[in-house]
Amino acid sequence: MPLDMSEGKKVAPGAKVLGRVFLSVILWGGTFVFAVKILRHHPTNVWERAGLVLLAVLGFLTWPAAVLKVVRLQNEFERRIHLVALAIAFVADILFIFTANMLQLAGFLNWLSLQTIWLVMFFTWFVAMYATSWYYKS
Amino acid sequence: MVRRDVCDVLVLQIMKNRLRVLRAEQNWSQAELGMRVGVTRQAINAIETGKYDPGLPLAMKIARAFAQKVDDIFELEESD
Repeated sequence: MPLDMSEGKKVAPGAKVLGRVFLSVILWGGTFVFAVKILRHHPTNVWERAGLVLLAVLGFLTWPAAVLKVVRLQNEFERRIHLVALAIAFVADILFIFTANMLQLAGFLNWLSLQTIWLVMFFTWFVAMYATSWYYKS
Repeated sequence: MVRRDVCDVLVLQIMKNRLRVLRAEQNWSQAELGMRVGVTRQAINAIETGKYDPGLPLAMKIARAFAQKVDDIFELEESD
């Protein structure tokens, strides 16, 4: 019986896949730090501020684009891992935001920055990916 | 009163498979079977341990690899 290697050929080597995501995170982080550094000096020019926002957002978009590319190259098992990790991360994020909301209402928390929220969301996705991958592959 | 068809949906169903047995008969490793059907060794292991139920395309590839029908490898069981 001939080997069906069509799907196997599509799977990128681990280093290449990880490298692509890693580069996108570096680009995202770099554009974010650059934009924040200038925005903290409160530039008055509206086009400059808008440009920095656009730069940071475009830098961020390289990350989901890289992850999307990786997911499209993977087989159904790896895709399932991504799906389960997303579901876990979603619930964890809701739990975090809901708890913060309740803490605010109870007077334990005065203010929560949007930056903290998206950083936590990224972190929960990362942890969920790691944990889900460990569960299915162990 | 709960309708019968609703009860049927709520019954927990577990997919069982004979992958480990068939693989042993062919003397294939998990990695070798994975290579033949285009997935990783970990994916085959997850199917064998019941952590992951393959989709139809992968189930059909596995069935083809063993020259058997999907039904002969995968079985749906109702759990209490």
